Amino acid sequence: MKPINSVVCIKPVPDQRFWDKVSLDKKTKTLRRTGIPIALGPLDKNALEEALRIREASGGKVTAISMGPPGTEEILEWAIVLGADEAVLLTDRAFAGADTWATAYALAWGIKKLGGADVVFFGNESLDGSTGQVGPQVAEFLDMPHVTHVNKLDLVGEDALRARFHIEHGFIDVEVKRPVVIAVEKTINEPRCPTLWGTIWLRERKIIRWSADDVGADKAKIGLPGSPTQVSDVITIELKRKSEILSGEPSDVARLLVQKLQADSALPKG
Amino acid sequence: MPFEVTHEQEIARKIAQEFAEREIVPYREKLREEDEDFLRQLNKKEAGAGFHLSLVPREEGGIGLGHVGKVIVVEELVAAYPTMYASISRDFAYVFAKATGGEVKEKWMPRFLKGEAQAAPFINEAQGGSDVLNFTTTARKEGDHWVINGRKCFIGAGHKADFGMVLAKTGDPMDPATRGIRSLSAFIVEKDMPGYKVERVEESMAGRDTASLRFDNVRVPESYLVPPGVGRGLTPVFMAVWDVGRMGICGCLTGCILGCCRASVKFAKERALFGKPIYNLQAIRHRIAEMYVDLAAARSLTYRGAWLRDKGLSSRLEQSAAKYFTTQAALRASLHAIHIHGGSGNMVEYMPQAYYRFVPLLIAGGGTDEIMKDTVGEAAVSGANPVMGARGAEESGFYIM
Repeated sequence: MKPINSVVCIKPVPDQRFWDKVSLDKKTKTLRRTGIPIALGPLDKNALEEALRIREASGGKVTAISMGPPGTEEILEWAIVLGADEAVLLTDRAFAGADTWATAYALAWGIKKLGGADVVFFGNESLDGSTGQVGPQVAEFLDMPHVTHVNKLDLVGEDALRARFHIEHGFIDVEVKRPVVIAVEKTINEPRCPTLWGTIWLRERKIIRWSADDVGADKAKIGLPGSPTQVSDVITIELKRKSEILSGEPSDVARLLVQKLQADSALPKG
Repeated sequence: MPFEVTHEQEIARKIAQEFAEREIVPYREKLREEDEDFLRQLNKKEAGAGFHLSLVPREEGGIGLGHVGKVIVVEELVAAYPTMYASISRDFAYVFAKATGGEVKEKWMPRFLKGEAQAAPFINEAQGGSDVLNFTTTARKEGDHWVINGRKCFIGAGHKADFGMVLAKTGDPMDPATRGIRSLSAFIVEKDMPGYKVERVEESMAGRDTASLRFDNVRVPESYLVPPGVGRGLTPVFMAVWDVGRMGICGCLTGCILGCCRASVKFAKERALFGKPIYNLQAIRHRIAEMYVDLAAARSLTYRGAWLRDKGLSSRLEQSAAKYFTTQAALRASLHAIHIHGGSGNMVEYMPQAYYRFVPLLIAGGGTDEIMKDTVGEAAVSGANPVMGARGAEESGFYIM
């Protein structure tokens, strides 16, 4: 079988254990992340796991790539601990303030600089932004087909993949030629537990840092200047609970409860 | 060079922590019930994760995180569940095989590297563990074999050990030719040897973690005599007890403090009293603060002792200080945790009771408080002085004359 080189695009997200500390900054219209540790996004772990499984089946290389400030190295290190062969950090002030489009552009140029890939993996959406846009956008920039919501992936022949993706009431199986962009769902696999061998890989494998110039990115298409969308407002939904004690015979109380829930549209009428 | 925990060792902590969160924390009930099938599976997973190789240098097929990396890993595993301390049994297998060399090393090292060998020091007897000259276990030479007779008790994970290093008398301590500690020799004994028997799996309030062992005419070949040889048994035994046993136990006790801290903070955030989570109460915050100060101090003493060994320096005094301190601090932390949890602290569904029942098991293991204080006290009256600077480390460690 021909070796398959995969690139896994990963994103640092606030560590879920500290989510009670995350809040929205009305002024900057961003998440307040100061003092909150970052972690590899949960679906990124599934994406990395799938790439590692393909490498185990067919040989080849797994490269993790991310864009962000120098601290982003932490999640790239973790990708190496989990088994990635190398990692690339796109880091430059010029990348700052990017929306999904400008992020996808930068990642695509990073992947081009790597010499392309047979499969580019993404988590279907990130834990914080949840747009699910970057994968398909990267596919457009690289002129590759893409399949999203994938929860089963098999190698077919020398140059194709069979992907099962999730739709509202079922699944669709497609065969797609490589190179391809695949965005995975949580159910595709169980990400492996790290082992202490990861500390050796960390010693031996490297994290490459590339600036915008290194990847040959057009400065007008990255960061804030390259971002066609701007966040105009962020709104926090205040959840208010109301309580009311119903008393009387259990059957009367049950009837009254159903009526009240129907009046509040919490239960269908009829 | 000043003492520090390396980035690699901190990554090792993260790895052990994730392993513990996935493979131990959800299955605490099975650990409490000592479910044999589960424990076997967990053993395999631990070996797969390479935890037994952290101490072993890279050139010997290990991972090479040194003693500091080792105690950090043990700390995280024990924080998840206290009886995970048994994982240090594998380190004994490595140290014993290496110290003995020859046939023993050839037989056991490959199994150890695959995570398939556990060992234990067979030292303690009913009369005690430190009063070695009163031991009654003997070894006498018969042709090209040694014949061992005697009993040992309170042997940590003794019933699970594939082999052990037994300390036995090969001479009379009153005889000028074999005076004092020259009467003691160390031997490797394997579980399949005729005459070796696990007499009883002892049941303590922590569980079934120790065993009484019996040696009835156990014949071991000359190659199973641990170097440097006859009358020199204390050296390899003490090296193993200090470097693996005592240091590992300091890691375990620090892990108990860490576990108590984590459980208490989680509970104090969830449990509401008078309309607010109880961490708002000063009485609770102060208890948590005391536990965290103890955790920081326990780590400092333990890691520094381990770091000195990684530098090839003696850390006997540091380890004695660490063992005494971590024992006391873990006892305090487990009691704080029970106080913070209130009635729930005694319930098996919550963790404080598990640490509270377990910590006393380690009071004597690796040396009692009294022996530890004797060691430090003796050095102190001889003019020793805790020095934390680089000079102290280069010359003789934490305490210099």
